Amino acid sequence: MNILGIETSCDETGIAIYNTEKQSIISEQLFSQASKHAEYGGVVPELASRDHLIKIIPLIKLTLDEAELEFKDLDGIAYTAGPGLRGPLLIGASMAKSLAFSLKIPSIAIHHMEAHLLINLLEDPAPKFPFLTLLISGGHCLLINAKELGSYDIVGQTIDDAVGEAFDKVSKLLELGYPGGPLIEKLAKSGDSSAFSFPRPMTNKNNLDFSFSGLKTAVFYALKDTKVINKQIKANIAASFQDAVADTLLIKSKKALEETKQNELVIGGGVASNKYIRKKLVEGLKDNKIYFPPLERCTDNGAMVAFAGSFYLSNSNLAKNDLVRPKWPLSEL
Amino acid sequence: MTRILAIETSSDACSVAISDGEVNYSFHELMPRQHTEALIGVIDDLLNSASLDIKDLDAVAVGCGPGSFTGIRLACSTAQGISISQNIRGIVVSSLDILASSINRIESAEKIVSIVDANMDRLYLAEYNYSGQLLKNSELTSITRNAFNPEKYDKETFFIGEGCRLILDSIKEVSSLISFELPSALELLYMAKDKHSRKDTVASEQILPLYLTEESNWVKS
Repeated sequence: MNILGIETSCDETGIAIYNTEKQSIISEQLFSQASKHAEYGGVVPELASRDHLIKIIPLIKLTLDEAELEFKDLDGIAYTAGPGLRGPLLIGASMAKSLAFSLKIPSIAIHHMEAHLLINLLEDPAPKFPFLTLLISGGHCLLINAKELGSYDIVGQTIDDAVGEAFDKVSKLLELGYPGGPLIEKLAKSGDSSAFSFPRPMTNKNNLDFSFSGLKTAVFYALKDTKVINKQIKANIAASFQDAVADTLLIKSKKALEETKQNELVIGGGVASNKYIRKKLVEGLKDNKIYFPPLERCTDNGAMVAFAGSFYLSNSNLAKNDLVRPKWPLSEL
Repeated sequence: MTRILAIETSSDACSVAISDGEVNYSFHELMPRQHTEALIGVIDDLLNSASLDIKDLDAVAVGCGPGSFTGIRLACSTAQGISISQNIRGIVVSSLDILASSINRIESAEKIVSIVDANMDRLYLAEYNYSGQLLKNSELTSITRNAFNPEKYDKETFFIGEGCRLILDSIKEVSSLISFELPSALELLYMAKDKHSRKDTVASEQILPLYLTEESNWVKS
């Protein structure tokens, strides 16, 4: 069976087809609007909605052509129903509903974060339920005890900024631009990560929650206290900040693995494409099995939605009249 | 026999109409902020009423706005999906044109101004002059409420659209011909039949909204 996946929850238009017999993504297309939002310093929902609608049909056509399939060969349309930005979500949802209705096949509402988590099951070797998941992106920072398909306990989450958000804000402070993740990672390569000692927020607290707002403030004051801010100083700050984030994620993940008595850690979300953070987690958790998706599947994409759709083809889990759910807790699947 | 589906969701009304070539079937109900959930069901019901299958359609028409951004994107996205999957052409008509056409049809009005509420103290506005069958219209514009100048018009001018409510006192200075009608899919259907016969159609990816709004109003999430 062929499942078309549609992702439009933020500023990437992602389309892909998963084939259940081949157990693989047979074609995929991704268009990132990031450069269009850069001049605004963040995602503009109205601009994102407009662009999704312009790109979605050409991308669906390309995806079908690449797979040498026609519409009649599709067996289901999976789409991200939430969480995410309402306007952008509605483009993917109304397209999915329209295609499914026209082709007389099911539409499948997918939870964005579950898709990020499940995409790891497509890799070889793949993790097996139950496992612990660390989802780190521009909108989220979650530690999840994934007990079985559709059953997830959130054991830790950010009480303020998401990790990716912290990267964006620090990037702004360092005058690097948007999105901040890749820009900070690049600059940090030429910096000294021990030059500044930034806090590891909440690591002495007896819970698994995160807070990144204070870390951003620490960077702000470090810059304020520095008389000459040259390129090297900025690189040092970027490296020290990145190290503080990686360290915090490591400490909390370690604690969560112990508390949930899990051995396997599955990591996903856009920030999981940061190689420094990957390395730090792998080195710090030598006794555990760690799974990362390939770099291109960390950020939002259609492949994860198509693949997640294959699990829910026969039983969609969203209330019948709900088209989208911009705030959809992962624990409410 | 041309079978056309028409979708108009630029206002608070969820408006859908279908022609099976002879008979027109239509649905027009006020459902603010609910048409996103309702639209596919309404289309399904109308197809059933007309004893048509989605495969039988020859074209799909949309009221492309200006109007509610969410509403016009919903109409366009839904029409795109039907158009691409059924391999049929799209027909795109401005919602201001739909208003003018309907009042010309009902009242034989010749001088018409269509006005839609653009929020934030703005109006979408277009002027029309019908002589016989010929329709001439000004540019479709987005203006501030204060920029509306009633002195341009006379007592024969027909004002149509819920946007009239915003400048009702100014309009009443010149004309008492006022209708708060919302753009309807049935009127769109009439216009679409005509456009289809003139082969004035577009490809799936060209079924796009008409926003008439500047980027300067945008804000970051």
